[in-house]
Amino acid sequence: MSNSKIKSNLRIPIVSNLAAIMYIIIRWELNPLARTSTWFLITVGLALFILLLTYYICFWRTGLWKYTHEKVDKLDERELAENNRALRFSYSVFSILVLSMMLIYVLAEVTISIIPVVLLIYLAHVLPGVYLGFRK
Amino acid sequence: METRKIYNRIALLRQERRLSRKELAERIGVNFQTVGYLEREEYNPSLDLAFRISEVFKVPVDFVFSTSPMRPMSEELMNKNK
Repeated sequence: MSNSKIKSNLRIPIVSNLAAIMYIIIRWELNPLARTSTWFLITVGLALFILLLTYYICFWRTGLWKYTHEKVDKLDERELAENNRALRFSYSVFSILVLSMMLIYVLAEVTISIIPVVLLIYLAHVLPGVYLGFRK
Repeated sequence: METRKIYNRIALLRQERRLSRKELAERIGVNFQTVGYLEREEYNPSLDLAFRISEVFKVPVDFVFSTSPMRPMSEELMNKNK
């Protein structure tokens, strides 16, 4: 399999994974009253299924999750440098994202609920893998 | 800081010694994928790793690594004999 094929194979599920996170957060926060409707449960359930499936495809099966969560003494110098770059990227993206979200929440005068918080924590953990998945 | 490309003869020396990437990786204490990155000159090793590699092949560091493209071994031998 060519390198570009591997890249595109991983890029599509990664984008789907991030899109599923975004979709769940937006749907959850946009209309709190609709959270018990059948349509809401179906669409959010489907997004959650896509999220779990693409997590398995992109981060679990490829070993990216384990690689980005490996203990420092188990990595060699190249892997450490690679992980370092991925973490730097994640830190920058996550900081900007969280600050933007905080600003939106303050301006909209709403309180953040547990679901977006959980998804943001998940995002913080997969972002180094996203970086590596896109580059490899 | 922009890093210079470091050229090397790791692939040649490894094949000459009939070592697999995995065997060389075990001897120098890195992942076998890192040996691939080094051979393709996609990663510049640290000084410590460079010395470990040259110790495995029992040759001086400057014989394995160079900042200019490596000349063919035959050419070097010819120059040495002159």
